[in-house]
Amino acid sequence: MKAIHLFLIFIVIGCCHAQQIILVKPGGPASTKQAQQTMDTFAKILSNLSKTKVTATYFNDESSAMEFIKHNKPQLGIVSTAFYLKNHKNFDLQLQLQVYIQKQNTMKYVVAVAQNSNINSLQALRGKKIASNHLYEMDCLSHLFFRGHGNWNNYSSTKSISRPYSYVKRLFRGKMDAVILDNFQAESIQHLLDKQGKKIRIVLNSPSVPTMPVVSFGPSSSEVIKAMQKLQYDKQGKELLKLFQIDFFGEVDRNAFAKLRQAKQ
Amino acid sequence: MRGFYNKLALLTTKRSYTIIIIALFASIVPLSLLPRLELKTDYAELVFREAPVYQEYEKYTDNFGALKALYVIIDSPDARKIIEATHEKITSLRDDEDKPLVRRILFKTDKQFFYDYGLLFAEKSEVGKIGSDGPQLMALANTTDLSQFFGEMTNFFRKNSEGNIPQQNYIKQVLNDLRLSIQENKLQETPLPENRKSDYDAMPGMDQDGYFILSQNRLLVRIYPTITDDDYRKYLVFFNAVKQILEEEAKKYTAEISYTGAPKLVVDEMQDIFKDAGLITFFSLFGVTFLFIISFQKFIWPLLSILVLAIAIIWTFGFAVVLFGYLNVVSIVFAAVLVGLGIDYGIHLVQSYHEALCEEKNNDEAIHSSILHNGRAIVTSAITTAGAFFISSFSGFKGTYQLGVLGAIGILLCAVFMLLILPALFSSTYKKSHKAYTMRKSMWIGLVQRVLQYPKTVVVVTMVCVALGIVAIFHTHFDYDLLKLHKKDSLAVSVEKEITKYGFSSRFAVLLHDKNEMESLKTIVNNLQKLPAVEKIVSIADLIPKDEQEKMVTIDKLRPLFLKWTPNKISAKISKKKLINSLESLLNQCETLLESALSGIGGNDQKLLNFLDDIVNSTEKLIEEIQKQDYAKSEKIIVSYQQHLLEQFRSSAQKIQQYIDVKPFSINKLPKPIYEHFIGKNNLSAIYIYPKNNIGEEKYLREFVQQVHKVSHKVTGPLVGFYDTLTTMKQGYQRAGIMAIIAIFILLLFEFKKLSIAILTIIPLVCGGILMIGLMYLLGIRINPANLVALPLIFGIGADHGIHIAHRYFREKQYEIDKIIASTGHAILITSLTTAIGFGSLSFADYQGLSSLGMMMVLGVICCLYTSIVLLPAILKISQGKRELK
Repeated sequence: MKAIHLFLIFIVIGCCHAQQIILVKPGGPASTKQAQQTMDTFAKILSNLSKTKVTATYFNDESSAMEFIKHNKPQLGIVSTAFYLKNHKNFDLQLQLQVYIQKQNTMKYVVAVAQNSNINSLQALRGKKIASNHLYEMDCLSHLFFRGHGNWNNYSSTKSISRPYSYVKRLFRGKMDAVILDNFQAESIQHLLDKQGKKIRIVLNSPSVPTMPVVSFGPSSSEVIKAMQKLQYDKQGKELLKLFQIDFFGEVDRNAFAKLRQAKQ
Repeated sequence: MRGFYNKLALLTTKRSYTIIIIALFASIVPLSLLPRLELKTDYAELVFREAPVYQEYEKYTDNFGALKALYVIIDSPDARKIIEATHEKITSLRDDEDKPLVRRILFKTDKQFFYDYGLLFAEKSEVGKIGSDGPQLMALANTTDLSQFFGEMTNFFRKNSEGNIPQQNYIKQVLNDLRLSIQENKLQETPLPENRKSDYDAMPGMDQDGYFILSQNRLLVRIYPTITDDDYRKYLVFFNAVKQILEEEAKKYTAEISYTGAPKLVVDEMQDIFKDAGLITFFSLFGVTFLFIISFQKFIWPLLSILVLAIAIIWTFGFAVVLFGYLNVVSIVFAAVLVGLGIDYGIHLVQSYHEALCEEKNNDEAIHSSILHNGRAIVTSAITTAGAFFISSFSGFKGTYQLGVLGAIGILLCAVFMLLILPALFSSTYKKSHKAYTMRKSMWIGLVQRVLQYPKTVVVVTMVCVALGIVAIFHTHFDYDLLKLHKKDSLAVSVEKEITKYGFSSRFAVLLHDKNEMESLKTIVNNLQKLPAVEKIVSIADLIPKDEQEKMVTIDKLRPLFLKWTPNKISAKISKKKLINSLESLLNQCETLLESALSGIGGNDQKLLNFLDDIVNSTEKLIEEIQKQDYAKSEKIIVSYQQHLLEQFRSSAQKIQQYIDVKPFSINKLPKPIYEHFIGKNNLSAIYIYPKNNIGEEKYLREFVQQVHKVSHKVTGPLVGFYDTLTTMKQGYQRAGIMAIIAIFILLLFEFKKLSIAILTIIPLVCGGILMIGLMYLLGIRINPANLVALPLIFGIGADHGIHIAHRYFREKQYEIDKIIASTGHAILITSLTTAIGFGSLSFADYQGLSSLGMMMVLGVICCLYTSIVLLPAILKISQGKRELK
């Protein structure tokens, strides 16, 4: 066999080698198995657009995601901002793109209480019962609200939940004191409560944080990145983005992530 | 020339009996020809049929038969019985020559075809929906109680927890209705939302057994005659025969039958015209005679004039038989034109004869005087008007061609007979009469003379009005809506409008195409569909199911599921525990979905959140209500609701069951009436094109025809033919008008040999015409195919009046304007009044076409009267004043 034949075989193997994408959202709504059908659709659309074989897997807990990364060495990841901050050094995560929601690439965490609650400040939350589906990312959440001078676990009685709306409803029955939500959740829940004539009040706002980044684990096929950017122009891609409730994958705000990394240190 | 009129006068007085006898005997010849004259009422007869539009139309009728149908609406609960009992008799109807009268009758279609192939014709998305909803519907239809039903609902949400959750509002409705039923102890029988209840129900415009209906108990029957033109008499035979059969059967039941479509509209139109024309002719003749008698205080004079006029008209009919053999709907008016213009010559002669008698001349001297004074004016006027008619026959429009030729011949005959026979009649009737006559001055003439004391004011005011009239000309549009010509309360018109709403309009265009060249047919259909003026296209391409293979994959998956299904019995009870458990499972599942939706990777779909939240809230309230009430008491109403709800799902499933056993499709499987509508002989296929906007408006009709002709110049059909006919008619009249004015002007120039006199003579015609259009604009009377025929007559009247005034002034050197007004003006007044009464009576016609013709004629006559006895004399007075000053 000549060298040229070996070279061609490597090229073919290289081309056939699938690009693996993971989607990591701790506290997310579905299990890896439940989400696989959607992830397969996502991978299929990306494969069509990039002319590269793509596979995609979803994780709603950090440990399973870490395990998968160690064994399967994926090329790309759509990860929560907290996951990025925690692991960017371990896995040499390179920022590639960013998720845009309602045309924004930033979000906030908010502390919501019932309209008639007497809680008005961070101090007033000391020792109170607080629930959130974002407490899976406790470090990040504590850092944002306490700026390195405290932790929610020590400050209040926290409960990590997967049903933010039912815990918001508990605010009105006095069974919970506050709920930490992201600003999109808070807005949607308020709409639902409007029908019942109820209102929540935001007592604390975190600083703005970038939305979920798309990162690469070392070298990555730029074709898949380009394909992710093209999703919004593709009919099926558009439907998928609608299902994910995001507008598009756009340019990443590297400065915002750099500031966040710096502040964390 | 004077010598000629002297000899003529001598001839009429010396040989009066000879002239009368010859005239009466010679009239037997044209009278005997009259029965041979045919009347062709088809509008298509008005145009030369070499244009591609008509060639293609003929090709269509040759291959597909008549395009226009008689629409019958039978309004009765027994409508089906009536049509079932009569359709065979109708189909076998034959005319006097034993030829079939009916080509096809459509009142029902083979419903089995829709059961066998209906789903293939549904939208792909619709079939997809059946594919996705079908298993769930079947699961729900299989449930026997509410706990199973809510259990299936829970499964449905569980299966759809990933991906899009179909937001079916009936779920919320079921929860709320059940709660309200328990709360109020009264069954809430709200039907489930339409998309669930009758997704796959019968086709629109058809009842469950395939009968065509407009609404419940209103059966629609389409009867296609073998008649391929719009001939009134053929349609009348066809319509009466059909009507008799239907109404005889309808007597056995309580039924109301209404008719519309081209055959009925044509029959109504012609019957209304005949009815109105008969009544109006009587009243107008009575009015004209009465006016004649009042004006001249004589009874015999009008009768003699009308006798001469009748002879001239009979002769013209004779010429019509020899030259054409038939008359069309435009040329038929030549008789009215001759009554209007021919009687004028008689009136001028009688006026002059009367004047001479008043000057104490004897009868023969009076006849001499009247011929000498009026002979040349009448001949000039007749040659000019006849010339105008004759020239207008070359306008390129077949309608005006016949009218032009017959009008010219008739006017010349009227002039000759009035100058020859009328004096002979006067001479023989009053030979020995020595009665003294006195001249009475008309009040109106006195008024005109007073107005003419201010000639400059008259001219300035009139010119301002003429200028405004010119502006109005540019804003006047031709009315293309033939339905507006029918009588106001026409039942056929209102039924026509009603069926148009249901998409059964006969207002469409057709394009013929080779059935075997399907790809190019599809391209043409696509191009037509892109046109902004086109509402929809119906072609054989629509009868070939789209995406058949993909649909069959979906249908094949569902087929065993539905075909094997037999509905099981709905339970007559439901335990509280089972019901509450099933509702709690549903609540739990929906809450999970709601919370998941709120914790996704991106933002939130508020619509989905609201949907889920509503279900959560409704379920919570229902559980609360069941717990609150005494279950022993509320169980009965819960069971009733269970029965009501589950029966609806069973019924929906049964409907799909009817349609699901789809067979492989081919064009030959189409029901015969549908196949024959699209595929004709010689492998021809018809593409039917429907307009988007109201084509009663010229702008929209023109846009439609121009756009479809850009795709193919071969597009034909009722709408295109109608547009072409009316446009040719309109343009023909426009061309004829211009040609007539030029011809009149040249003849006047030839007669008076002076440009200024020719211009002055034509002023009453031109200004009168402009003022008439201005007044029509002000009164909101639009020019339409019916009143368009008034134009040649108004042209004749305008030219005639101008010539008589100019003749008296320039030829006979009668420079005393007041005297001209008193004699010639008086004659013009009477001629105008007779014409106005004759045609004015048309304004009272039920048929709006005749009514608008009457109104237009009255306005035209009044305007020409004004311009000839007020404006022209005022101009003459001003020019006279200037000459005297010099």
